[in-house]
Amino acid sequence: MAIGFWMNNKNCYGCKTCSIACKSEKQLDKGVLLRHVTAIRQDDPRAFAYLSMACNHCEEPACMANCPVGAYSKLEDGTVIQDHSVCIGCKTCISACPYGAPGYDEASSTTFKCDGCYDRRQRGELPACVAACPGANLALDDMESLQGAHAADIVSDESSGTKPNFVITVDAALAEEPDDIVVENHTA
Amino acid sequence: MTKNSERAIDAKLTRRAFVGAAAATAAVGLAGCAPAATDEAPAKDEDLPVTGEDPYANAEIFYSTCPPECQHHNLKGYVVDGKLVKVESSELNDCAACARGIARGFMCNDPNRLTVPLLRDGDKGSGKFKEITWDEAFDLIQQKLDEAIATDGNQSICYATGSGNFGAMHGPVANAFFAHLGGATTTVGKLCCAGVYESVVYIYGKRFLDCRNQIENSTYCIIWGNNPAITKQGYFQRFEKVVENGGKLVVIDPIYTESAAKATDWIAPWPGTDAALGLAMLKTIVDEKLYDEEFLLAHTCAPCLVDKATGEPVMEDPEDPASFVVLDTATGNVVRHDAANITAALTLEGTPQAEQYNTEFELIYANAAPWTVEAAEAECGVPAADIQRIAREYATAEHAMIVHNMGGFMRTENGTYAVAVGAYLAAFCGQIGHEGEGYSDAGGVCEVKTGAPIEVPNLLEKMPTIPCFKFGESILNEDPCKVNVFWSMTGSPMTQWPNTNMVRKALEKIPFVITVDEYLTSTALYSDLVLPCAGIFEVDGVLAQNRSHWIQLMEKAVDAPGEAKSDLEIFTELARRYDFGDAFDVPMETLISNVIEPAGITYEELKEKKAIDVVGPDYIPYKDGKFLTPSEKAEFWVRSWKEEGFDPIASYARAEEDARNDNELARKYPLFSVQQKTYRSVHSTFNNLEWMDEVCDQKPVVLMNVADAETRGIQDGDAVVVFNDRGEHHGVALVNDLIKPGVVGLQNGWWEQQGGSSSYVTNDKWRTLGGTHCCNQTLVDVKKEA
Repeated sequence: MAIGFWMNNKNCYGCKTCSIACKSEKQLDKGVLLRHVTAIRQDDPRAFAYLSMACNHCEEPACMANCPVGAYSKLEDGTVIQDHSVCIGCKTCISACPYGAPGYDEASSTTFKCDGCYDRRQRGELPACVAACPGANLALDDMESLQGAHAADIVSDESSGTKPNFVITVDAALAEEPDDIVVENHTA
Repeated sequence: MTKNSERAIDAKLTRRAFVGAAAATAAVGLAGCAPAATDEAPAKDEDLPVTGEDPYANAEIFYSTCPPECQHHNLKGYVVDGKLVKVESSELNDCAACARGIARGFMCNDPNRLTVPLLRDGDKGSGKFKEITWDEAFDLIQQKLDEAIATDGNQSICYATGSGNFGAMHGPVANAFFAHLGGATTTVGKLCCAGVYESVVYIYGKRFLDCRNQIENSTYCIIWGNNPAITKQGYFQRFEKVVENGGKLVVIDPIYTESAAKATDWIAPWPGTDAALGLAMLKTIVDEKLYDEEFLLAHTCAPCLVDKATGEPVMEDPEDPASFVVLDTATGNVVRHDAANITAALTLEGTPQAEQYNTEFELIYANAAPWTVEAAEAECGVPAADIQRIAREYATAEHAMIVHNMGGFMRTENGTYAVAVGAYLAAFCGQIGHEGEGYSDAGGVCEVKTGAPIEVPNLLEKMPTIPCFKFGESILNEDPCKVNVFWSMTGSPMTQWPNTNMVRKALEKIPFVITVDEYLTSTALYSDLVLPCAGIFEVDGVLAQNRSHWIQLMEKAVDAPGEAKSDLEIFTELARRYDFGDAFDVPMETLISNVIEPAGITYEELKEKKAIDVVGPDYIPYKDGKFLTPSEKAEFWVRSWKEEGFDPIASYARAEEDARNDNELARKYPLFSVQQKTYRSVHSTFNNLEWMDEVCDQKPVVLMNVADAETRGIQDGDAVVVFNDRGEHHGVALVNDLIKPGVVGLQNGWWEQQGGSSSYVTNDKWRTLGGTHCCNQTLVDVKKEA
């Protein structure tokens, strides 16, 4: 089993409620953000879309492979989780992750990462970002279910280095895949 | 991340191919809502670095609402150990609250909150203050109020409330306090919505009636001059549903906004020309007989007679405002519009009455007649074919809706007429009063009656008013009066009122400026005394206002930070000192009951339910074409406009501040500018929050078309100055083709501490028809920051 997020890039209008709901739920300190919403503007043809991305709970997580203290592990359901109590704040995971998923907390000199609200799911609740999205443009589910529900949409595929689990319903006007543009923006 | 071209060639399908497939089957498989969480909890692994514990399990729950000029979402606060640790959108909402609502939890704990009264200790604007006690603050206020009254009378005290808190225990309490004090000068001029007040209220009888519950039933929706993806983000997905259902979504805006990006059509007129655009649509509809004659005759004053000699509607009984008359084509007699078994004439051509009368229909057509689609193309910069097409599509759609949302298009010189033309279109086409139809406004509680928490006594003498658009001139010239004390609350004139430099001069001149706020706002910077105000979840109260369908209880969950007090506490203490404390010193339960009992809701009921939907989920404004005017029909002829010296039927004339005008101003400042809302803030509220810095642009963005940027040597990301004779606004250029060339987009709501508001350059014209704010008719130029 592999859980992943689905994100509706076609309908998302960029309100950032997911980012703030995550921050609120996790009581994250100043500067720590585990879900980023990035604007994508395109002149020809005109498009103005957003991509909301958190941890992609990769099949081969770079954070886990590179963390010097072994803080990361992959749970049975595919969730890539960090044992925050052992994090030494070396930021290796941040530079290793192609998606900018982990967030560094200056106050505690440690790094946090999205766990897909594993605790909430254990209690039968939705992840905070999914529950908060006004447009219902996010979901977390088993990848097979997500691909079944969104069959024609792009799926972060095997040619990516870390095999991310992320299904995106794409704004048809975009000339490039939204996650390509967003990741390039992050690293630019 | 690797580019597609670099990816392994053995991938079964390239991702680009997936994009193509997505485009081809875009309507398939879109989740309407998130999947339900599984009931089956995953097996707990003993070694997992997760506790499985719910940090909110034992939290005490409180309900309140987000009360700035927005959708007033119901909020649910979690309190643990006396601290508000989390705020969520409450389950009582029919659509989710946004990031700013959730940030209320952060605000209660924000170290940047004001905690003690501050007295100015340096030049105004310097930000230098010293802390004083509340006793000292109250003594000082009392002394300044007494001095003002003794030297120049009550009128030398001026107070202004803004739209930062629509709760009943804020602005209405100020009204009660200053009235008990013997009166005070107030400000006039609506920054937001004079255009709709001065048109729809007369034509349809009442405003604030919104169609938010009918959007998904619409097959053709025109979003006119507003951007609900930002301003109605809780239910913007309903507009997206119109498209998913196979309908059309048309956005009229010079900017390709977040909303336009989700629409089927983007129509980009020159700012402020919307009335001409609408009149051209109306002319097309009449010429092609696409109007709904049955609706016009049954539910509007289109056939009602207007006397050519007096220019006034003919009334059967001058004392009865509902006694309009029409020509009955069957008998040739002039009869009351609501007489039984008549067939009223829409036009009088060929009848003996034509010499003496016009119908309202004829007058409207006469004003629309100059606006051929070609003429409108020349004036509005919208292709004639597009105007014709949307006119035809709107008129003939199964269920069409126009959404004005008190949008930016009405903050122009022709704003009142522009809104009126929308009201004409809906009535002419019978696209109102039914499922999926209407002329949607911003809110809905006004269908029920509410009361004031504290009685506002009638004043013995009439107090002056100061137009907030000309606040600077009024204060500097002491016209209509000298102001010794200015009390600013629930708002920030230094960011929101037009022509900021003049507002600043006024605040510098007034001897004693008091600002009550949660933060050191731009206006607080220019104040003599700053009082720390309690915020949401820190005060009890009620919200029963025109921005949602709910009357909501506001519960106090935690103490306000430091010594912050609520507006009610501040005025109650002052009232005690002026010996009218009894009027204010009443239990909160009584104050809340005073507000909600006229709506037929008791305190007990509200306390139990927390929020009550007063119009219901199937709400349709002006249902079945029953308007709220005296005649119960849409009354097109507006007396108030005539009394202001304007045509009582909507028309259009080129505005004073327009870049196409052949004058010095247009040559000097050749770019139109319009104001944009952002996800950071509601007006200026929330804009200072660190949480917003983390998710939004951190500096004001100046949106420019590639063509306009190139001629000025400006590149994307350059620091730029937007300027005109009124002042300068500093920002970062965003250069693309998502705005009409010749127009720049400026962002509303930035604080002084963040570089200042776009209001530094905005048009402060006073007074247009209806007293509209003309910020979206502002000419500027832009240059690279030196």
